[in-house]
Amino acid sequence: MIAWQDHFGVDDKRIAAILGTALSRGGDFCDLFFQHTIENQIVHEEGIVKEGHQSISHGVGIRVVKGEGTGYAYTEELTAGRMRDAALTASAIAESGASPGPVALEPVHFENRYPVVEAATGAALRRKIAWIEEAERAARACDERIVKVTAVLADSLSAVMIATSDGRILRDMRPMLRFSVSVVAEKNGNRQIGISSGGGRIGTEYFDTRTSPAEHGREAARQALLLLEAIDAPAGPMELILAPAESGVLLHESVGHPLEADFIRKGTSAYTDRVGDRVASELVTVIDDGTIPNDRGAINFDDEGTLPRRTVLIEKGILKGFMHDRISANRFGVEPTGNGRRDSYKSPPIPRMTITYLANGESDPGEILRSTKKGIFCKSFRGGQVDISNGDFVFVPIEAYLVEGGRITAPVKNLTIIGNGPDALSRVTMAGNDFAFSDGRWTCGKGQHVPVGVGLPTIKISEITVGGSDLSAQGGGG
Amino acid sequence: MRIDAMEETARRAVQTALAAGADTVEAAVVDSEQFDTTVRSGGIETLTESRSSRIALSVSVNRRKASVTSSDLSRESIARLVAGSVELARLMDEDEFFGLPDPADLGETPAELDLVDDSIARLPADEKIARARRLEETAIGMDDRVITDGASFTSGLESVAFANSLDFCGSQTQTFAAMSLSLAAGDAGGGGENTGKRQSSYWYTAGTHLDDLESIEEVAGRAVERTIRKLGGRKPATCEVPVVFDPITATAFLSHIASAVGGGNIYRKSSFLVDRLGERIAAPGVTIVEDPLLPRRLGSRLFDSEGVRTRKTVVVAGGVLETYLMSVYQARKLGLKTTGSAGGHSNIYMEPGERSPEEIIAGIGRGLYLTSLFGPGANWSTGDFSQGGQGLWIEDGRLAYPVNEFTIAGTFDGILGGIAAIADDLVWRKPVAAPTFMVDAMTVSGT
Repeated sequence: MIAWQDHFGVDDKRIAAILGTALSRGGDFCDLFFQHTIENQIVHEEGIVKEGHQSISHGVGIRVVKGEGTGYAYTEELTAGRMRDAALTASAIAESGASPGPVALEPVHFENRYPVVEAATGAALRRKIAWIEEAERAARACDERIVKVTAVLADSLSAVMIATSDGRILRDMRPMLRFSVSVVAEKNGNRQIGISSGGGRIGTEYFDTRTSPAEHGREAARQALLLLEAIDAPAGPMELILAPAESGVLLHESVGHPLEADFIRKGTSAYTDRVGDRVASELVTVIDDGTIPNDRGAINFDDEGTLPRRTVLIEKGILKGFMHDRISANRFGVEPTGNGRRDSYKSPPIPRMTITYLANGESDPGEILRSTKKGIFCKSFRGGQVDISNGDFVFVPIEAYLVEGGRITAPVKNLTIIGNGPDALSRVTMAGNDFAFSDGRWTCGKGQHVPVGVGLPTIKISEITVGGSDLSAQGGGG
Repeated sequence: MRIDAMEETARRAVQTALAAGADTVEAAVVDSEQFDTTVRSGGIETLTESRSSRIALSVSVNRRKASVTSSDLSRESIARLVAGSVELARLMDEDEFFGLPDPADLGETPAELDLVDDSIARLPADEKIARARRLEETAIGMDDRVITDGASFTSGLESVAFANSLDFCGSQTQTFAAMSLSLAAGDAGGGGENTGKRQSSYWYTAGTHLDDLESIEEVAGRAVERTIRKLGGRKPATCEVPVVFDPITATAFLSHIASAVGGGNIYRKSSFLVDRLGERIAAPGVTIVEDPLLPRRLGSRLFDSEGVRTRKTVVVAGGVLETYLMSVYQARKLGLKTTGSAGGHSNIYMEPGERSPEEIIAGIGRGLYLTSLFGPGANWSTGDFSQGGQGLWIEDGRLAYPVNEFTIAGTFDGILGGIAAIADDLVWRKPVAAPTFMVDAMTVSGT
């Protein structure tokens, strides 16, 4: 157990003094975000354990909020003088000159959403090396066409302490593990890449309880070998089936981002002023929930000290609400939803997703496939992106297949799916009973990077635009 | 931190690591200052000031390598960091290709790069905020259909001191300033499929010197134009047509090429350009250059992150792939020589042609003028290209109407080989720059 005040070298009295300085020119509230992070990474490449990295960062971010305005400064030297200077810099956002009284700090109690058996950051390096070697051997053993294997084990442990001007203090230890294998398969000059990765806020027990290094190695190899046989994707509108778990990235892009309340308060999201409207088919219920145990997107509290909760964003197709940080919650007169998150002490928090998923449905996945005449079945994804202002999104599958007459007929490559969030969700015509969460591999970039989770059952979208390069399937185009 | 103190810290870290048993050491001390403000509807949305330092150390023991970074630059912390890095290195496997640069390659290229503008530090915070406010007001005054998503002013300074165990020590400092503006507009749409949808766009200017930035009027004007011209957009029919990449999408495309010629991706076989040196990879009109010695450019530098002297490198000459961009390690893996590109490329650009973008568009009967690309579908590892796009449809040599919700697909080889015209409008706003160019045919996937 770390003695927290000792860890950052500050006691309650010092913290209260910094909060007082930060609010010396007024402001609605202020918070301090102390963070000490150790990150490790080892890389197995070209048959050798090639390089070890370690990174240590340490600092405090000081934020003063006035209305919808944020004053922010951080320092990496936790001396009284440097912290006072940073507090004064952040205070410049406010101009009223009001000075509040001293702050009494009360610890906030919370449930631990990520108990770990053994934090990866404390595990012996020799064991970590054994894991990446196991993955490498497994991938290479699959097939002689596997010409390159890279296995990476990354872990981190972040000590976080948040103190707020409304008198709350919270302390957390945030573990993270990410394991990734990528392989290159080659045949007659055709070169394809397969990737398998996973992890979460979990310890080394991940390899026993969820996915072993060898399974990741074999999965990456399987994908790359499959893509060697893939044909060019067709182009034009068609049916789309999304496989469970990883397909949640489509949900994250198409509807998750536009429901982050900073876009709502600025009036730039396609969902602005639409609470109570039908925005999706009645099969669609979308939830953001940071409490899923050991998930990559799990939080004990968000980065401004709000406890996580299960927030229903869309219920049976009807828009219910948004994901808030304190600024947007204040503006709309609602409770913050525990979505105020940040990259590190270097950035102020903004509304971000935690674990965003589409609730389970009732259809048999086999029936969903059999009902599809001509379409694409997507299993895994490279990623996606959305245009917040109108909900137009793209996402790029890695593993995808052509579906013809209710059967999978061939793997396809080089395609981008493009659609519009509200439009695509209104075309969800079937939802499977096979819901699953992703095996922790997603990082969301919205100016800052935060780890997130996604989840989904099998779903069918009746029509979406598939951007492949093969025009022959639709007779030469219009 | 003063630059001589940074150099001293780097040199001392090298000595500490040698004493701790390292065979080779490289140490970089980076110090940065940044001011950033965003104004929205006249009010300050964010006001951030920061000062940040870190040290990065790479050590090797018997050609076994480890690297560490820390934001704590105290002597005790650096001593702990050094001990940890040596211990970590000993547990790695031996890498026969690892080694420091040839001492003859180390040093600073004698050149005057003019990368520091002292007036940036003298510009008061109030004036920076006022410029962001004026930028926003100017745009709103130009067209009452736009709503603002914020105007920002960013400025700062970054210094790097680097030392290695071959007695090289050098430092460089650069200032930067940028202004940007994001706008949106509601689409009346005339009852079409986009009625009620919002469209958004942005513009920005950036440079090492305040005097090099575009004016407030220019930035506002471009942001308004790029936003308003999206209104009334349609989804194009699926077809194969000539595609004109504007400077924004052309630059995005060139960034992917810059990755694909990176030595790390080549030796990992994660590039469509593996084993293709000396081959024609693009149309004869295409020349791509890395130039670290351009005065006042954001990517300029006298030595790379290994202390190797920098120089201009022609990567693609008249369509032929002449070289990859490599660090010492990457070059050794490939049996080649370093190009002074450790730490990533410097400035990289596509040489402009002689015709104006309007002349090129005028020669197209039916095609696409591409203004935005999005999504992660530009896969330079395999050479496949499939991205979401937005733009304007070209009919009879004119920009006729906006198009959106489509993808364009092809291959990197197909695009490079299909570049049939390059315009004269090369503008630098970041270390990668490309002029407008036209590709003779690509698949557009819409309705």
